[in-house]
Amino acid sequence: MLRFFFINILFIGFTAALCAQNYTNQTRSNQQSYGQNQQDNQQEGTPKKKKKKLPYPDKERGLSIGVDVSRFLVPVLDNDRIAFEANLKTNYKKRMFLAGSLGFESVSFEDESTNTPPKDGKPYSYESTGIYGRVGFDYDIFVVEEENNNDNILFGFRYGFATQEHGADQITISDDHWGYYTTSISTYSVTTHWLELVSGLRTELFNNLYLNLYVRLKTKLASNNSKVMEPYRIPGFGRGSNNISLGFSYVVEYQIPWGNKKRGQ
Amino acid sequence: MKIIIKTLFLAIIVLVIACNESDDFCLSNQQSVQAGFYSAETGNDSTVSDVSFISLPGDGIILENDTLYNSESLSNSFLPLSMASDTTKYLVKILNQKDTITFIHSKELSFVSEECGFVFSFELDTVIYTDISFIDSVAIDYTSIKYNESTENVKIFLY
Repeated sequence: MLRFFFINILFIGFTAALCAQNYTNQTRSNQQSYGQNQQDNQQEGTPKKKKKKLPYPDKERGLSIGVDVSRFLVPVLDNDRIAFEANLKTNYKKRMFLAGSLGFESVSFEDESTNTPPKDGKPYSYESTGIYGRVGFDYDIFVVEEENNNDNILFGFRYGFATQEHGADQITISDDHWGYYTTSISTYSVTTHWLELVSGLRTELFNNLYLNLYVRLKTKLASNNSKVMEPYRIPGFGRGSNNISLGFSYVVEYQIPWGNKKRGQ
Repeated sequence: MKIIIKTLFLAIIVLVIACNESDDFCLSNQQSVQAGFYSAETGNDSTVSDVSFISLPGDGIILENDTLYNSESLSNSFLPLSMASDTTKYLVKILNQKDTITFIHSKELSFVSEECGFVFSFELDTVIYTDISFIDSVAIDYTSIKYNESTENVKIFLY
């Protein structure tokens, strides 16, 4: 018990001394010798080793033109949809990229619930075509000493924008007792804005040919949809009824070398 | 470092494929008035045996099967509302006694989901009933009929 008190008092005394040293100027002269001692101690002891900070290396710079190859998989996974996306990227300042994409997506499916016998599927016919664009920047956090390593680990933001024309030719609402009722929603346009948090890996496959993998977390900002129907897919965003959407891109791009310093300088 | 990048690549691909599948399951028969039976004397809910509900559709509407419940024991019934008309009329039979209940309603198209499509949301306006044999009164408790809601809409008080 006594020991406990003793240690505590010692501890309080010690912290008080630290505070005094930090904040009181008047007593400084009195404590000069003490300060001197401490300085000596610091020099003698093992100083905190500063982590050697590597400078950002000279990676190849240029203008990249790419295609999102994952969009070609969309019709394979869902044969109601067709999508395409082109990408452009260029270096900005030392370790940033300015990035932009332009894409297209269309959806079309038929209502087969009124067929005899009825087929399983979506109980409405739907058609949508739209384009989208996104612009933003990436920041490269990948610092490596290895010579000629042009890979990047990227974090960034995008602002996305899509406009589409969509409509439902036939909407079937069925009821076990009353049978089915059909109605329709004529084609109209919807504009959507969203924000993306992106994280990407970029690796050089061959000279100047890069592969990008992006994961995108998207948040819908605004939509001018005036009717009850939500877009089946918002081009570039995802399901129309979602406010948050996760997406990914797999971009193969060619970098046209541009603005490089000569190596070895 | 190359290995780390490649591993991350793979991990992210697997994660995204795993997360991208979304399963919707769609509810059916979401356009019914939920009506409960109550005793007019005590006000407590009661189970009534040998109840039949038969649809009396308006002109021009032909139903394959107009019988909704056939001599069943019920404390609570689901009465689908007509989409083609703004009035829905049911003949209620208990044993061999008959009464009718008519609902006057309005409907509005409502979007359920990308996969499930649409339903109608209904708003009950008025209920008209005959009190010849066993119905004391019919009261609207909750006017809206919406997808995935299961609140009782109407109370049928019986003698």
